[in-house]
Amino acid sequence: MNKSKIFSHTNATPCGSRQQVNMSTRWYPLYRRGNPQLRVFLPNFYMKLIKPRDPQPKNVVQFEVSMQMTKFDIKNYLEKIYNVPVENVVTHVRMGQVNRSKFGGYLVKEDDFKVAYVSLPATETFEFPDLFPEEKKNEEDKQMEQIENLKKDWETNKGRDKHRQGAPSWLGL
Amino acid sequence: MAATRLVWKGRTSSTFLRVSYLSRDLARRNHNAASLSEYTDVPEYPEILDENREARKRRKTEAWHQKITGLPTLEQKLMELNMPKYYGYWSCRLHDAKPTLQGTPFTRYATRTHVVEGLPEGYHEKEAAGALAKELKDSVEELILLNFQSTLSRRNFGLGRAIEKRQTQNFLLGLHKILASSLAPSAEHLKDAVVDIRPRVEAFWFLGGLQPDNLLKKKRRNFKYMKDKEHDPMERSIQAESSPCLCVRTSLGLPEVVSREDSLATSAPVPVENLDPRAYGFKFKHKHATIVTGFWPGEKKEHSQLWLHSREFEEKFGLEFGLHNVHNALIQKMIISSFSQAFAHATYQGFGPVTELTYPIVHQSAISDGQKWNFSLYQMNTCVLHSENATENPYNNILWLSPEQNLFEAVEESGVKGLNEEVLTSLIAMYLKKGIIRENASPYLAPYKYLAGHNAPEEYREEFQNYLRDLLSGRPRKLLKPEMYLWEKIYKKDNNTRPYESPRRFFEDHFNQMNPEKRRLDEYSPIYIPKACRKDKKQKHKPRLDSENLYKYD
Repeated sequence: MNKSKIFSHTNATPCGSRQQVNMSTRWYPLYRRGNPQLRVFLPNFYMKLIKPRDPQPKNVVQFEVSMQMTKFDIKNYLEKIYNVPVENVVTHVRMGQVNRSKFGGYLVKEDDFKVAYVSLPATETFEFPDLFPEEKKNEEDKQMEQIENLKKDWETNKGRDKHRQGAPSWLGL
Repeated sequence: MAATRLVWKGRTSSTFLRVSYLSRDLARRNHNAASLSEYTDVPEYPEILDENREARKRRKTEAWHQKITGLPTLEQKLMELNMPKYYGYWSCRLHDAKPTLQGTPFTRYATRTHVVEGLPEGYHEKEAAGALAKELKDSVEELILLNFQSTLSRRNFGLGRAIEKRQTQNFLLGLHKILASSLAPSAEHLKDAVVDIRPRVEAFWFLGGLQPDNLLKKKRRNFKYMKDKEHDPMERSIQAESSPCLCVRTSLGLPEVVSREDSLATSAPVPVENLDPRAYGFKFKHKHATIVTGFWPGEKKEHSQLWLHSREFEEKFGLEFGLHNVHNALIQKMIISSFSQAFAHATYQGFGPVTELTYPIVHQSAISDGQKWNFSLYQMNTCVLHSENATENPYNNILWLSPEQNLFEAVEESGVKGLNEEVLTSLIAMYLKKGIIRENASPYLAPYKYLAGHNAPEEYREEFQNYLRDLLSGRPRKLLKPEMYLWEKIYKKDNNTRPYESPRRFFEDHFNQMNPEKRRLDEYSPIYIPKACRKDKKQKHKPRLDSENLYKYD
């Protein structure tokens, strides 16, 4: 039997251009009528918790999930693995951005991805943490300054041993 | 305002204004001294107007609101409300029979409703109702047996919820017949009450104070004058639909429950849920602003006595979101249906989304599936919610919702078990509530109220009414709104990959470019009249749609 008919396909684009990247690296068997329900232990998928693009109600969490996941998959994933109670899941597929390539100027489209809005029970709330707080900003600026200084030093000292290339630095006066 | 006619002749470096000799006289006339009658002892200065962008925009919208308020008939007001959008408003749809999981706080904010558990004391006469309930107990039991003991007909009308809805409707109609016929002798207003079966009730309003979405924020960021107002609140249009089973209409409106100055009506807490409605699960759709009550304008019985709803949406909602959320869905249903019903009635009295009420409007409703009953009372104190009125309104609306009660415990072969007389009493008390005569019920409508009394020629009135009726029917136009296709967005709009193609589409830069969003209802080519059919040989086209004069020649 043709293997491609039994197992689910990867997301190859019809026009034959580069294959889309799956979140799961496994091929799951395609369901046929009469088959037992597929039970997946140790699923290969991951779900990315992201900051909501638009403000959401307090008990809604936004994820980026694999295009292959359904609402039931997402709900079971959270409930069974992480023990998070889920009231409702809303998913939609977002089209990737179309940009100009830097080399050649032709149009390039990023991959599509699926976004899931998971509603927790009304008593629970979730707020996406502030990953770039103001306090840490000063530290980061200092680190960037250090890097800049190092770069400058490198530039100035680059030409020091140019006239004796290959020789080690401890040789000489 | 006869300005001098400017005549440009060519665009050379030595271009100068040439004033034609004819218009020089007109200019001279304007610059002469004013006549003596125009002078007064005390100088009357015109009002100092704020000339910044925001204030000018405000004045423009307020002038539009004043125009609508000043129109004499209901039909003209509805037409003027639709005038800015030829293809309809892109409005948030609130359907009462399709509640969403997160939607209840938003509906409370969108309708500015404060929800109170339990009906108010002292509004209904319970004793008289109790006595009548005892008399009607038997006939109600017979009706329950008829409807719930055996199937009325072998034919199945639809599936699932449709069957339940039809069954409920039959039962409620039967119940109304019993109650109306036996209560009529003791209640004058019920003698000539009218019943609407499954009336179409819709309401449209503008809701302010909402957070701007990303598209609007991007637009503001890239516009010089709105750069610092990026996060200012925005306004959206909301279209609500109510789907009642029955409406009992009488000629007098119900009295207020609490005074409009009472603290419950002025400072009751209303949640501030001003996110994008799509975050709560509501969808948007293009539609004309429809405000429909379920009866034609001109009806004598234009106030509602009682609304009866069915609860077939609860089953699907419970299966999808869990039974513990069904109560929230019920509140959402009652708020949306009560508000849209009260709002539609208010509009038919001359108020509307831009005209504030002068007296509160009260509506009673009951929702049931035959066995489970909830009663509710809605007092609408404000209907204007645009711009800052959504949050800074002196009034707010109130919904009283009673707890769930069963009319009967079970229906068995032997008969009805456990008929609850309290439910019957509450229902009869709602029927018995008398309306009051309000003086100046429609202060913003002319004495003739509706288009039939307008003094325009009959053919104008007829065509205006037909056009409005087609608009309010909600049918799509034959030629839909021009749409930018995805390939056009990618290859023409976002990245110009076809610079040598002629720009002929509506979104492209050329002489005929038009924004379909800005097309008004009166922006169309009037119909040509052939010479043989003309009354005036010089008038080649039919007059254009106009809200003040119905139709007006260009």
